[in-house]
Amino acid sequence: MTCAADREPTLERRGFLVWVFWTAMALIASSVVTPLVAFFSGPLVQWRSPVRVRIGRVDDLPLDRPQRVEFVVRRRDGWVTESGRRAAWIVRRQSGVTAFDPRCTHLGCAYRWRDATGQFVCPCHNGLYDLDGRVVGGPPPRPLDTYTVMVEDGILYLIPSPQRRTA
Amino acid sequence: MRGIERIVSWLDERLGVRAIGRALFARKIPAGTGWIYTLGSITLFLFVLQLATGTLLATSYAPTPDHAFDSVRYITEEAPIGSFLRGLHVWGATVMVVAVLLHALRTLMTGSYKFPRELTWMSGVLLITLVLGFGFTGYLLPWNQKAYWATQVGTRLAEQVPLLGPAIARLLLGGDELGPQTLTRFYAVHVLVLPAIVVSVIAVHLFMVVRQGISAPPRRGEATAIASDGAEDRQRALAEYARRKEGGKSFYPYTLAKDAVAIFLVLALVALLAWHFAPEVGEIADATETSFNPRPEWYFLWLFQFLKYFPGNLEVLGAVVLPGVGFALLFALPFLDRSRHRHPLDRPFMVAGALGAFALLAGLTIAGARSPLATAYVPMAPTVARGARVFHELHCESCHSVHGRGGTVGPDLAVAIPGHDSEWIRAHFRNPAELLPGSPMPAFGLLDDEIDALVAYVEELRGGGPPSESAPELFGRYCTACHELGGRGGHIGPRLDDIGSSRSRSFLHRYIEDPKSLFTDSRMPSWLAPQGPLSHEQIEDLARFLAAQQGSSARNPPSHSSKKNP
Repeated sequence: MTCAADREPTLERRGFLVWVFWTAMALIASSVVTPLVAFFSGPLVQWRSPVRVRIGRVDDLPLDRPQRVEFVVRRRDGWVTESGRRAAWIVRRQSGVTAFDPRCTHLGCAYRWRDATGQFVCPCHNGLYDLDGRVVGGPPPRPLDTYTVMVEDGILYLIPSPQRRTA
Repeated sequence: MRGIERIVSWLDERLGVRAIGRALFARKIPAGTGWIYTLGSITLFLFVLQLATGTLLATSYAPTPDHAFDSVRYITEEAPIGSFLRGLHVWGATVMVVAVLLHALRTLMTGSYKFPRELTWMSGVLLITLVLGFGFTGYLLPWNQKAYWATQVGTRLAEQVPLLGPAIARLLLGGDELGPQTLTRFYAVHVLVLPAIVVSVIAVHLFMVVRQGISAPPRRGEATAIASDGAEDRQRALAEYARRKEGGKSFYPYTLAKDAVAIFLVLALVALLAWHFAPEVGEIADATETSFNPRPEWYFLWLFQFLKYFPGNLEVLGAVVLPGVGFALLFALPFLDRSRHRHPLDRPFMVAGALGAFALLAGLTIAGARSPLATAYVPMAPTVARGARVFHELHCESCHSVHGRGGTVGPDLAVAIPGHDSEWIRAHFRNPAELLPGSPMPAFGLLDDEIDALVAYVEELRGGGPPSESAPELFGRYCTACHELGGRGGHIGPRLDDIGSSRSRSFLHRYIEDPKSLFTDSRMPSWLAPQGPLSHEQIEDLARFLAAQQGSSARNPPSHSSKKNP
């Protein structure tokens, strides 16, 4: 039963089966784990194209005088689509149009425009900004955040996600 | 290698892992276990696959009626590799049902449920019912029409249980009717309760498999013991098994290599199915839709078909009593079967009975799958269905009516926009005041795909786009012999002046192409070439023409030149 001639092919077969088992297991594990990891890592590769909001005709905006505009932003997060009212301050200058996020960069209060001084004033801690959003007084740590704007065929559009600027 | 050896030694001193490993992997398996003995391992693997894919699916699933459908659509259409992942889960379930049934059939055929493995068999039967429970609860989760109506039928069946029926149905539904509470209950049972129970029962099942060893393949004429035999006979049977086990080979790698290869092939099959037959999203569950034909998942089709033979008061027999008796018999099989033989040829009655039962189930399943649909139903195109949902979400019906129902601030959408093409409608939705100065319609800030869906919906309401100039002539030539329209035509078929109010373009198209596919008793012939004289395009033209026939308020015949403002 146990002579060398019998044993050798058995050992060979055993080694082959060990190789078959581990190869198959590696293939099974990797083919199952790959789609799982890919699915879970979705947020790393999935970027939503930014929502563009139509504001109106550029020519209707006053020159050198900020205008507060309100608009509806409809955005999608995963499987939920929501509408929300948002606002922006639009400044039209000879050089172009700028849109400011309507929250003070200090603590997020809603600032307003004061015609008499020609400044944006934050009612919370008296933060002051000029027409270009630069800090001219008070505690704000950086200029007003802006929105990306674009003009096509005389129509102003903006993307309502705040862009930080450094002082 | 030395490092691993040291870790194993460290663990062995504390936990005795070497002995455990030897008991699990070096145990001997009787010779002659062929490929059909891999079915148990395949089922176990598929369960693990279901756990893994299900866990990942749960990260993007919302078990509430207002989000369930959308989250499943998100998984299927938007999430990276989501369709494939869901496909693995859906097809994994189907293949698992097949595998577990074949595993049971193998055990039945080889008489492996006999002494001393009665409890292994009983835990296995319990696992089959739990797997079916997974199928039943999981089927509802996509919250589409199929899911909703199959569950509706399933829970109503539970009501048939004598005495306790109504209480069971209320417990399943979580209230009076199928709704949010049903969905959360099914979800919790599907992802928490059943997995916990199944994992425990599998642990017991596997413990018994290892403890008692895999049953030796049966031999012709060989007799084993049964429970009522004397202790001596039982000892002899055990000793005979021990002898055959000793003559076998080690579980690792001889049996495991076979298992691993089989599992890999099954995984490849599931992946192939998931890739080529992506699971559908379907239409969102709608309790008011009356033309949908509820169908259960294929592994409940036998019951669906079976019930058709039990009219009225007898239904409880088909729904509860007979299936219940069937499972009870299966469960108690080791104690009911008094034969000492294990080889299939030595117990022809048992084998014939088992195969007969399987054939009966298969036959019922096939008959159920083939049975004609009771009502004609043509689902909406997915974009159109999405448009209808956006329409309702934004409460458009507060201002606009459709087929005469809804507000009157804005125009009736089914009839009001002729003359404007889809580009105009698109621009109008984007900014209503621009094309129609003074329009009271608000700008909703709609996303591009929402606009696409709304345009598709409005187009469908208007008959899927304008028909061609020659459509009325086409109708005159082929249809007026039987159908009346605008006061002219025959009376063999129904009048069609208002057909567009009740039938969609897609329905009409399918009906003209193949009437019997929608109404088996229809007397209208098929008009599609080669059986009929019309081409696919001509039928589409006719369908659009007919879908625009919406009673007295419809444009009749439709004209391209009207530039009336909506």
